Amino acid sequence: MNDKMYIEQTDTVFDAIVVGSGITGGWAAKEFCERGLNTLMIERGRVVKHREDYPGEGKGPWEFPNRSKVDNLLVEQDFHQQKKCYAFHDSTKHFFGNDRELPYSTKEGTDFTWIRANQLGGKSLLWHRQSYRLCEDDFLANKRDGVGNDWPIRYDDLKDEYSYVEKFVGISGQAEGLVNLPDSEFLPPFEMTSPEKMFKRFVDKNYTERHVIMGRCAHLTKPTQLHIEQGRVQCQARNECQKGCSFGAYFSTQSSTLPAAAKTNNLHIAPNSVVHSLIYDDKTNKVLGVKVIDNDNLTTREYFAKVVFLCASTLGSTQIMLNSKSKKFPNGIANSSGVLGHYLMDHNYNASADGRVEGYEDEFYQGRRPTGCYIPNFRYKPSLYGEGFKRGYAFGMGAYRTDWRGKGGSDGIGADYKSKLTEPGEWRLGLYAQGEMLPRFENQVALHPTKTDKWGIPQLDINCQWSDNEKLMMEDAAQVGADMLRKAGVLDVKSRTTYDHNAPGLAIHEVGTARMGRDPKDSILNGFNQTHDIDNLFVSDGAAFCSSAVVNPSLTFMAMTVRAVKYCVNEMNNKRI
Amino acid sequence: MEPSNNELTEPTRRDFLRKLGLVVGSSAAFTLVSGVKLNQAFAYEMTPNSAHRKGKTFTQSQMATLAKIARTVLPKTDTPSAEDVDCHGFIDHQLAVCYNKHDRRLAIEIVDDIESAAINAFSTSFAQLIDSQRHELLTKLERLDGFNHDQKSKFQLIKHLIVFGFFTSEVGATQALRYLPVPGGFTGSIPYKKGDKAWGSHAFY
Repeated sequence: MNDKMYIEQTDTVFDAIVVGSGITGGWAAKEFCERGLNTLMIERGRVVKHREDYPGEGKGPWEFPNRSKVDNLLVEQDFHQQKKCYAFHDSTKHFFGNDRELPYSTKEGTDFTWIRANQLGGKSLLWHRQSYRLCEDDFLANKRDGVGNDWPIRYDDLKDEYSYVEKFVGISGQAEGLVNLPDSEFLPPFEMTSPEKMFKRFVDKNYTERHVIMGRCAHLTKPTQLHIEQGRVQCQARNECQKGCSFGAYFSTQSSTLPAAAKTNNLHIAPNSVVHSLIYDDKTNKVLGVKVIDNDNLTTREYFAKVVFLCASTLGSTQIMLNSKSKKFPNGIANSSGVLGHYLMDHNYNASADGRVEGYEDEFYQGRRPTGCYIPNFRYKPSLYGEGFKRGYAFGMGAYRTDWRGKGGSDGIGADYKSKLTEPGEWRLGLYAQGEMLPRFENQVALHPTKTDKWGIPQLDINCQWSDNEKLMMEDAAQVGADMLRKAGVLDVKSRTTYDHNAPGLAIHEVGTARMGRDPKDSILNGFNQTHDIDNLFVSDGAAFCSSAVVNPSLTFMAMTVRAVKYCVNEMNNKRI
Repeated sequence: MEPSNNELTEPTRRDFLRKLGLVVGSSAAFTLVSGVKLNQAFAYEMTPNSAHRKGKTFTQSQMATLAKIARTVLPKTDTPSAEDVDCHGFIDHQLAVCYNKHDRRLAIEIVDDIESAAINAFSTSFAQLIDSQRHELLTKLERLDGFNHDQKSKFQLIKHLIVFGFFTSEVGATQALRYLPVPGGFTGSIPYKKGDKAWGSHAFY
């Protein structure tokens, strides 16, 4: 990559503008660039260079000023929301958004944890890398249940794009032939530990709809030529991914899509460019480009292109659209339906069960596996729904031996105590529910009537809550999980639900708010992520989702984006855009 | 008893961080937050004589007591003690920057209580006791023999920090445990026999 790639002022009318540089923006830029289009990627934050800008990577805990804990006053001042994320540490905090600079409000009596990663690469640097296809039933769920609107696409529409992105990204996993979790193109799976294998044998034997499989993740367990060409090598099982990975062993914009896009010489990047709004021409009914506020000095500039792809994150893209007001679209661009901002969803990670496993004392594991095991959603169609709620949940599953980290409070003084702490303790095995959240009109984001951020952009006002459906589902998951563990012989099983104190947002799977649909009267986008109202405006990130399904959404963002770019370029070539 | 200097430290840090937050420029802010300046300003550095110096949280005499508490909980065996790796200096720092005022008060109270208990039982300061007397006193504390639940839970706060400080020190992580920063891959099952060490290398602590 050369520094001429980065631009600030320009009169160029680009073929395509991609707003955002995370998982979705990286894919959109790569696909446009590889099709020969002169492409501008706009990023609101600073440049993060692969390998050079990973200051937390590869250090021992003693090399951090507070042994990897974050200074409490810094947390209080700048990260009071971000600190709730499991990946927020001293070694990663520079990849999280600054809450003081990125304020938002929530409706009284509600809460929402909005995790931000505003730099080149976005959340692709911080993601958990779990990669699953949606299944046919996921696309049918809204229609079957009469909840939300029907997805305008089906599994078959995305199948080829799933394969295409998986080969490029590199997905580690095992083919299982399951109807509720279609297989991907796989690199070899990670290994299970013996207690995990024991649990798998028990579940496979005793339940027809439930299966224990190895988690599928965007890690190069065995790189192919395609990955080597990107400059990536095999995963070293450090599991410190969110610090940045110089091996390029997990997929990120930096490790994968950005080098591919840059290689074409069609890529330009405007960093530190906070998109204020879209520039709309009502005579032609086209988007002309974007109005940008400089991240640092707050000056204004504009960029122009033939098409604009919003890939600024679910809430980021919707915020830009809501703030793009004109005579024709007084309530936000391409919002003739009035549903922009509505049907916000997240995943519900608020039930778990775990316990102690006896035996296997003569076994340990080596390396830090960057994924757990997984039980795909076994309530994926109405006949399998639980009592009193629609949809279902998956379980993350994993076994480990305890160590000193949990024993600081245990009794003991002296050499014997010290010796005990240096050895691994008992095996524990746990299940962690990942539930679907229903699309509900009431769960919405809007622009705050008076509050703005430092760039003068109206803040988002979020109104989002778990409904009884989500709560009942978590109660079911806690009970079902505990029951499975007990029957499998796990001891001292305890289960819990946490939806009372964990607001939506914390799964960082926010989707919806500019949903797809067949009917322009109740949706923002068509099945190709193109807005119904304006043919050269597309939204290909999570905002487009009609339902949340239960699986981690990033792989679908990628596949959807590739399909949207392909369609867009074809439309441009045929002069329809 | 001389006052701890912590009351001075917190407003100073607050002010520093506030000014740091006002620095214009995302790249500059990144440099500041990701390390350099913040660490330079308030970094913990291992010092050989922290048991004889006033700390950020503790007074000089409390530091001397804390050093021996650390050494009693995790003594020298085939690896150095918690005192040898300056756990007391680390705890003093960590309480100042990662804990709140309430926790700091509890920690100070239990160090003082242990010192008082030493004087009551042995007529000399905890630091002057022989190792077996210190061991006996802290064991009694955990068994609630002459101590109450409140004191035990305060002691657990200190003990958590001793254990964390020791096993995240270079000696603790690499000598008392097995340290494998770049495993190269994951093996789901390797043989284990009693006495083999646990992993000291973790993704996050």
